[in-house]
Amino acid sequence: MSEHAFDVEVADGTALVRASGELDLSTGPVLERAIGGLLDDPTVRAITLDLRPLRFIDSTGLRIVIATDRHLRAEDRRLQVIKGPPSVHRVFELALLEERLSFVDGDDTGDGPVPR
Amino acid sequence: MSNSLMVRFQPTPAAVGLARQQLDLLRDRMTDEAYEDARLMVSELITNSLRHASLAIDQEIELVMRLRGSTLWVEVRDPGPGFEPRPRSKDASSESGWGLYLVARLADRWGVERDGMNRVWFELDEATPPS
Repeated sequence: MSEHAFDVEVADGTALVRASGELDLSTGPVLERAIGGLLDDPTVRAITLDLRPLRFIDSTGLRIVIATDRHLRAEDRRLQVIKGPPSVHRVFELALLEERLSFVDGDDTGDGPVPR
Repeated sequence: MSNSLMVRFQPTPAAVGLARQQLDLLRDRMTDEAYEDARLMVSELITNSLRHASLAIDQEIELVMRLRGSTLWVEVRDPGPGFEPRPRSKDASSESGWGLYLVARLADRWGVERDGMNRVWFELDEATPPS
């Protein structure tokens, strides 16, 4: 069983979702529920998904990130993704999703307020 | 230590992580890159079985892994009705088919066979460090 945690913080209309552990078919539904609550909340204008603590992602995780991005874009809201470690980010590169999603390096945001 | 192993899993989502863990048994004989690539591909093949094979709880998924020389061979077998292998197209708007697309990008060879079981396999060359 993969250990995992998805923490959510909302401040000023931006939600920060921190994904840790391993994101796959068994843990994906947990993240989907966490994000689903944010998508249903019209006061959340943007979601920042922090993948830095994540150790593994596969196509199930990619699908969740892409679906979230599509949902937010369609409503003129936005998703920003803080890049995960190389083994995680590489999966996005392999799937040719680098251009399609708004990635930022963790260094750009530090541990300060979530970028808008 | 044996170069080959076979493990069976109940067809639940937990099988995906448990199958990845099996690679830890070969970890010390694999390069970092091969280990990471193989973890991703094993994850995709088990996920593929769970999503497409509509297995009953008593229909187990088999994972077979073997190091032959420097090549890692992995096969995932299930008794389900099978699926049409369709790696996703370049159309990035699609949200399905990512799994086999990733396998196709990472594996040196891969394939699907049906002989009563569905068998999806891949091979990864140079999986062991040069000696």
